Amino acid sequence: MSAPLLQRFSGRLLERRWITGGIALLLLLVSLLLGWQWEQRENANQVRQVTVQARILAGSVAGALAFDDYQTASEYLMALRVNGNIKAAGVYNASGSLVAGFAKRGEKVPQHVQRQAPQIEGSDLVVVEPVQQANLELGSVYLRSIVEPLSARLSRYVAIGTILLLAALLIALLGASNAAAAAANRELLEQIAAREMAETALRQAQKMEALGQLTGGVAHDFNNLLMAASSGLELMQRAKDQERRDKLSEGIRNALDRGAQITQQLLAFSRRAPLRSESLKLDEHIDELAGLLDHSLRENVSVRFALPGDLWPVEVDVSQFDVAVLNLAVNAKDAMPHGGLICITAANRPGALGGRDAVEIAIQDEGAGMSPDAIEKAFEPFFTTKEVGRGTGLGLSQVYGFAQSAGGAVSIASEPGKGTTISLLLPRSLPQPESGAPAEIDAPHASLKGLRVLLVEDDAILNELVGQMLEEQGTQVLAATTAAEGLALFENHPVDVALSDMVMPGEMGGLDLARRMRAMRKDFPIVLMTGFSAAAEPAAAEGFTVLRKPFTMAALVSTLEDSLRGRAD
Amino acid sequence: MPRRGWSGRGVRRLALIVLLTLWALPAPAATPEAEVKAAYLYKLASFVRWPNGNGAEGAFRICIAGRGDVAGVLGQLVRGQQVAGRPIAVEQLTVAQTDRAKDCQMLFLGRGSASPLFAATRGLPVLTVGDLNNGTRGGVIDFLLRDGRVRLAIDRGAADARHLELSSKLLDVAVTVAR
Repeated sequence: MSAPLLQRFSGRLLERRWITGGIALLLLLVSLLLGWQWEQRENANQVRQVTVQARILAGSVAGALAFDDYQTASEYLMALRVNGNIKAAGVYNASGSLVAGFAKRGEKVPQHVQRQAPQIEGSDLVVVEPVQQANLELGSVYLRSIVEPLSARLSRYVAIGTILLLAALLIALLGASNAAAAAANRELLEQIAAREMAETALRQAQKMEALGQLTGGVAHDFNNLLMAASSGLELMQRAKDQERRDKLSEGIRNALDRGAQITQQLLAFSRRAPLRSESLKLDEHIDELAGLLDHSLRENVSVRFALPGDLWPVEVDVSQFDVAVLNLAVNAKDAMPHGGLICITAANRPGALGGRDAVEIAIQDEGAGMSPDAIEKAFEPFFTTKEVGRGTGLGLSQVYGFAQSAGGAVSIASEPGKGTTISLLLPRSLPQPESGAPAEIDAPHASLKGLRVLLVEDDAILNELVGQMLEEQGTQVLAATTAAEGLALFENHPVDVALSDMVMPGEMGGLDLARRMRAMRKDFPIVLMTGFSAAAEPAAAEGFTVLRKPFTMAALVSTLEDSLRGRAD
Repeated sequence: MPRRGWSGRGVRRLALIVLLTLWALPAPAATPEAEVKAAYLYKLASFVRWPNGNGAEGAFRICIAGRGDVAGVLGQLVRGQQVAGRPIAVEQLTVAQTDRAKDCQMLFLGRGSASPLFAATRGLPVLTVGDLNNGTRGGVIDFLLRDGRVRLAIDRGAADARHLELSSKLLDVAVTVAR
């Protein structure tokens, strides 16, 4: 933890040029100071050494000076000759006159000396020490010694000085390059940030464009449907013939079913549609599928099915599966503008889905094929190769979403000019008894008759319509438009079952209401209505019955019956 | 008087002396013999240590017998001077003044004064100085003339007998040292 911190800190430091420059300068200054101090100490040391020598000499020649034995004094002086550093030495009597002395070649011994502190004269160190015996002043001695010359001293420092200078230079250089690198890095980061912003803006623009296309397409489709429904209604009101009225009513029904299908597709794309997985036997479903495809494709395009008889059932949402196959078939058809053959084949693939058994359904066309680039983007929402207005770019997205939510996979094999094969891998369904689909109910259902139903729905039209549907089944309806109102009704009136919307304005939602009712009356049958899987999942997880919108009267009746049966059990 | 107790350094010194005598050294200024002896007597005091308890109080007494001239010079020389913090008194003694000689720190024995005074101070811490060229010998230190200069001869045995400590520096400049 501290190591990266330190690193970052030192990195920051090194980023600033003046700091590294300062460090380098400081290093030089400190080394100069140390060198100077060392020099001073060396000098003092030399002075001390020569002074000690002078004192020894002074002590030695005391007798000789006292009793004028200059020969002995000379002997002591001569002993100093072997010391290479001493250039001249002398012994002086009490009046300061030379009595004995020697000097090396080119040097001179002064004839007279006076007391003085040790001092450096040129490159020499001169020391004069008094000669004393007890308190008797006998004279003085004189020593002139070599002090190491400046050039010699400097040459001693050259090596270390060079190293120091190089170190300082290196630090300064490193600092400079580091600062340059840091500056470049900052610039790069700024550029990256700018590019990211631009990309985000571009993506947003693309998304808005795609949304525009989608909403335009959807609005167009819905307009057509609404047109069909409203004109159908108008015609129905005028029609007197029952047969014609039935036909028109069926037309309206079809238009509404298609509308529901479109919303299904949109929800599937957004992966919000609740999946109603069931076991599907493809070979049994093939006729229905063939009819659907025949209806949607042009005459010059034919479809061939090749399904083996021992095909495993698959676990899918049937309507989603139909939509996916339809989307793929439409794409195949669009890829063959001059007509052709669409092959739909299926085969068992043991262990193909991460060890799970699967069934592969392949839809093959003889069309233009796809480029690798297009394959890569094919599953992205709103990606389309079709011209504007013809496709929403949601077809393959729906296929992808379907395959994902079914726990399967989808892949594309194609080359430009050689047709396209899209393969769906769907998980094998484990055998289990299938519950029969609720039968279409025309007459009021006996079991619901006289039932007191609490209906909570914020949408006034839906509230009215569902209320009518319930009343048609012979139930008594208590209608509320908010959860709070529904709770009040529940508390003050006897009810047998509650039917509530999930997403409602106000502080309390449908799920909260259901929880409170369940808290007050355990095992009270509650059915929650919703069009969003996101809302449906937690409700189902808490054990509430969920009725998916839009629903038919038959689905409503059977769901209500299921919830009541659950209570009876 | 033969030297005893040769040391390595002594041998070397002797060799050097021999060498150096080949070179002419500047001759010291010629001084009258008395002046030199007076000065040497004064200087000798700094190279000798007397045992404690003998005349530690009062003046440092330098007694001179038989050399009035030396005493005169010395009297002037030591005026205002001290030895070991004591004022110096110069006294002239006659041969008969043996009692006074016992209290002297230094006793210079000039012409014809040797025997009685020397005998009187035997075993006492009195530094006796003989004047060899004037016929007195047997002092702890004897002045002698060599090459026209006053030199010293030292008898360490006599110094020990009188409980006197002689500085090695003094021994250094002695012409002869007897044990």
